[in-house]
Amino acid sequence: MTTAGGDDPDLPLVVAVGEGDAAAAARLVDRYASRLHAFAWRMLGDREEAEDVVQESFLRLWKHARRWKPGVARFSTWLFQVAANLCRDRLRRRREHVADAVETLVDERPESSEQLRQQEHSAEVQRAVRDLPGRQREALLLSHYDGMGNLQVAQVMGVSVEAVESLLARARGRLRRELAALGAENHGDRS
Amino acid sequence: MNNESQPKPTQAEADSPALAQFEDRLDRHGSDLACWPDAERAAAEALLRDSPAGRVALAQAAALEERLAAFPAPDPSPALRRNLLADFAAQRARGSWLDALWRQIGGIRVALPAMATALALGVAVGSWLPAPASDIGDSGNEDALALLQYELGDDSEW
Repeated sequence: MTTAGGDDPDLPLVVAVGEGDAAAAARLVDRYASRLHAFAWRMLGDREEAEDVVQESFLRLWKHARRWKPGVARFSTWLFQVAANLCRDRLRRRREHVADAVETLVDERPESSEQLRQQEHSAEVQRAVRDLPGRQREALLLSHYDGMGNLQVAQVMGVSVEAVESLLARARGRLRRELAALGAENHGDRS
Repeated sequence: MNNESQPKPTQAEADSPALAQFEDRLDRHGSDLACWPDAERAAAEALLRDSPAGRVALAQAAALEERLAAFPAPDPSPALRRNLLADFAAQRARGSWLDALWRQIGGIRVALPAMATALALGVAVGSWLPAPASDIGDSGNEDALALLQYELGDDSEW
């Protein structure tokens, strides 16, 4: 991947948005709103706040699209950069540990013991990811859930690729240990 | 993480520096070797051909990633899309209003000469007016400064 705008698949849409094209705006919304919302929700653990982040990110796009400079950064990198900054600001303002006040997505009426077990696993994973230190969590979310390469993650986070690799290595190592420990615990409980 | 089908690595193999390096790379790049830098991928593929422990590590990394999939995110509300597009329409309306005003006042062809004229007038009026007389001399400034310092007190925080 390069940072040049020439190979940016979103560039024609961004240019069209800058010219006031409503259809192009709708296509960018359909392409990115859900992804951005999922990222912000995993970061913040709050649906309303996640929607606020998405709305604020797109508002910046609507304002700046006319002055978009191709070749400086890929559009998706820029958009996630804006959203990540907004999430960081909100986390900073909270001044409390994110895991203390977050939603966990669960099926409220599991129909079978298998579903209940899956739900428990899901809650464990959500807690383990949310308990990661902020930068490790951010790197993991962008890499694993948004499918970005390490270079793009580095651009979104404003750090070097080596720093991203180090964050990911620590995050994956920690998750592996924690989830293995939880697995052993659960296995012990059942036996 | 079920690795029962994999042969167990020997102790010597588990302790090898090449394996430790491979595990570190797995944590850095993930279990999809296609996403690795070319040189590192070639070394990893060579190791995997001969090392059961390497294959176990790869399977464990893939299992962790599979497990992380159990973190679904909720869908945004249907109102979000409407709000985003309403914001776009409002921004476009604001932009076109400013454009219309700019065109109405004549755009750059009128704005530049108008600014140049205003600047020339400002310089002319400034040079024509007499210099303002001040009845506060240097000592007056010193007095005012002393009074201000007295009112503020000698607070080291300032």
